[in-house]
Amino acid sequence: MSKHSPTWWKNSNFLVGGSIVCLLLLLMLTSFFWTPYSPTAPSAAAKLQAPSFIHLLGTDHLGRDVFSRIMVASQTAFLVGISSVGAGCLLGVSLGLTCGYYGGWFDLVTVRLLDAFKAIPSLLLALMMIAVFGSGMKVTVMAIALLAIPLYARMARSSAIQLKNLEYMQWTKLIGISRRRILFVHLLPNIRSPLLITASLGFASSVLTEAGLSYLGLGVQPPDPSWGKMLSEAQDYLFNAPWLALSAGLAITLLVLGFNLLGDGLRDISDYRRKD
Amino acid sequence: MGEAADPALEALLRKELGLDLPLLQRYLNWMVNLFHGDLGQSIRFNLPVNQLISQRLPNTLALAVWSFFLTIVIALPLGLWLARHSRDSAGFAVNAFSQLGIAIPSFWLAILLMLVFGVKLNWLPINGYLPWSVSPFGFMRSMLLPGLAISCSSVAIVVRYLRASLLDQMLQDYVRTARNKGLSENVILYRHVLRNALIPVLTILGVLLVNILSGSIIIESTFSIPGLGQLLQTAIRSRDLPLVQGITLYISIVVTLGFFLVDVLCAWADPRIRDREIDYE
Amino acid sequence: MDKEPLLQVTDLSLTVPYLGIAYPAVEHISFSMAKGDSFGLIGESGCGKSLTALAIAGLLPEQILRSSGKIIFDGVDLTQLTAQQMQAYHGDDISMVFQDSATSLNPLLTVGYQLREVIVLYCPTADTPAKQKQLAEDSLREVGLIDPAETLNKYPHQLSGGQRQRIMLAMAMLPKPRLLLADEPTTALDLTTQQQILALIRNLQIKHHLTLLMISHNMRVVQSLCQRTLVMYAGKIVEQGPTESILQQPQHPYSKALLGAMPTFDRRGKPLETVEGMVPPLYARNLACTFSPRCPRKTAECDLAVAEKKQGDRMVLCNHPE
Repeated sequence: MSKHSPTWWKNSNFLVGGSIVCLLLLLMLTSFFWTPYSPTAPSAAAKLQAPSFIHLLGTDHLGRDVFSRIMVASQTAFLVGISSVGAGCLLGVSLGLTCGYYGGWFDLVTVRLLDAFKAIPSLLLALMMIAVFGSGMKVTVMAIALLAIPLYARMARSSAIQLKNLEYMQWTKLIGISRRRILFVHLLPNIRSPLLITASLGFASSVLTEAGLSYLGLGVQPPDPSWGKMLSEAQDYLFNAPWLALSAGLAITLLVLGFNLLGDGLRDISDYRRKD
Repeated sequence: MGEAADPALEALLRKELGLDLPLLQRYLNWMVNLFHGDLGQSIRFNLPVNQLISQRLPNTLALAVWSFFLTIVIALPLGLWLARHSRDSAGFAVNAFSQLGIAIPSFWLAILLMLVFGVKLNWLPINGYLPWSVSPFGFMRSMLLPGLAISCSSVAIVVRYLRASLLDQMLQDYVRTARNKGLSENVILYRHVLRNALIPVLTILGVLLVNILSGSIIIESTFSIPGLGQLLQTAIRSRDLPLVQGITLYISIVVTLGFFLVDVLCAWADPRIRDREIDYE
Repeated sequence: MDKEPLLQVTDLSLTVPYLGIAYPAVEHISFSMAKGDSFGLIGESGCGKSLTALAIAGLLPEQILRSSGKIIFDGVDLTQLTAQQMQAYHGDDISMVFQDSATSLNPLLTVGYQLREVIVLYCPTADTPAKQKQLAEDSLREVGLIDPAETLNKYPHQLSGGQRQRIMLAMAMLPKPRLLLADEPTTALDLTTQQQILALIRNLQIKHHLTLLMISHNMRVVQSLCQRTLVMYAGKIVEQGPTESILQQPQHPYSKALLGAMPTFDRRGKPLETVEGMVPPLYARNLACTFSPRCPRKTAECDLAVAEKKQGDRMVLCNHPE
């Protein structure tokens, strides 16, 4: 196993990242059917218990099992991630490919818009949208998904520009294949690797943003579960029950780390192929 | 206004706030006011937005600048040390730590730091903000934990970039020339290599700036720092749109100015960029 | 030669490691230079001449290892020195001029700054900034740059290749080195500039009693500057001797081929001679005589061993010299 190995089964970034992601994915899927305890039922008797064999990550101030809560809250994190990747791939990529390939005034206008977005931190934009439309699961998910689009658009656009100048692309245009066909059949498959990388890193970034928003109390609202919200609740019990803060934060860190490593690993693998 | 509101009162309020005018006109009014420097009145506080922001802006800026300072002070020596003393194979450990630094949410790190240094060890205060003008040392002491939390991911990024850049520059031909002149390794590193290695790092300064500002907005609430971040949260909770708009505008201006400064810095640092503008060939 | 040699290279071999195997880049070369000598080291790209010079100058890249041999400079074996000890020899004892002037100068520092570094280290008489500036200007004027004051404020990318190469020469000469290694300093330049730089080096050599090792792939360059020539092929010195002597009577088949490929006035209109095949890459050099696959005079014994034949001040590494 080597650090930057181009073959995927030897690249440690990819392997470690992939394992973490798979593990958490498994936890998330399991949480739909089963959790060790109920994540929502309070229990006055079991308040603020330290981690033990009975409660793997202890209990919170209402006696709820922390591990179960973490499992269920992972659903929110994955939802945010998947919707941002989905929006990015569908809307962002098509926007970017169209801009890059066709060019013209559409491209000029869009590039200016994208640049304007770069000037405002995405957290701030998300906050603005929440200010206008209110907080809660729906708005949070949509805001983060929407904000992911420029990232994918920029990536797709630069790939399209690079690819369209390659010889074989110009050849296809010469022999008269329709431009739409070129876009879907020839261009799209070739951006597969930068797309995977952007998706992986974008997933991580969305999870982090959602956690931040929920931590501030402006993102996902109870009863919807969220690691960020758990973390802000844990702050009040920092002295007596540090395990609350530790577990919530660890969950966020692990998921973000997993996808970041995965993205880096994919980048190593595709770099090698491109050099070929 | 609340849900149980008198319709007559509501109509009056609407008229006062100008909400009864058509959308386009409201936007134009806003733009015109903007040019006069008037950002409107905060609904929640009933004070001019400008006033509210100007009270808090220095605090947020101070925190951001302080975090930036911490980033440089930590990342630069660390990157240099790593490039000088570790073999290429140590890149594994560097990468691992760097990834960890980026993945850890700044607000979680803030809480952890609070737990260790504030609560358990009781070395540093966990809230209570002292402006620089009142007491520089007090400022640094109260801002150390927030600053560290905010700068963590930036440090991770800079160290990784700087180390890679330094290792790359050490293989360049001009280093061979410098050695040929009989210069010592230290001089070569600090006078020649470091300068060139910093250039690619400068280009990510903009990203770092955005990172730090976003971090400040969240961390302010963890440490109860009276800055724009806290103000923004209050504004959002009370649906105080003029205030939200005002804060967003200010922050965008700061970011844009920051990007501009970074560009100027890049041009100053690399003479080749300066000449590229004039070269028409 | 009964003078004490300034530089004595004995049985030097350099290897390049790649994926665990050490490939021979330079194999068992030996030569010696007395003070004031000017030698030419000639060969194609890939024959190891640059590596030889870098080894002498103590500027080898980290990965390249010396697997055998000694480099004795003024009685001291340079190969046994640590990097720090070698640093004392850089600049005022052994100095080198590199081929690519564009990448050999720090792009972020002005020419004046880079010259001043050398002046501060080696010219104690120039102890004020004004004197240093004057000395820098003088040294630039000496290498033929017009308007040196203006040039001092420029950055490397603002200058032409010829100007940069002159600056490199000035930088190399300021410490008054005893041995100058010039690695193809004119290859990247146009013909006119080439002649100027060569004339410049010749003048400097005469003026400062320089010991010069000139590396080139062009026989003409060596002819104009060097009294003795070393011909290198695939990491070995295949022929050594006075330049004129080799030019008129090349003994090794490779030297003959090199000269045969030189375009000269009297051969106008006639096709140039070429040799079939190419220089063997690093991983394919395990024959006794690496030139034998391309050699017209090859016999069976050439695959087994090659003899080194000496005659007066000439040396040939060949079983069938002419």
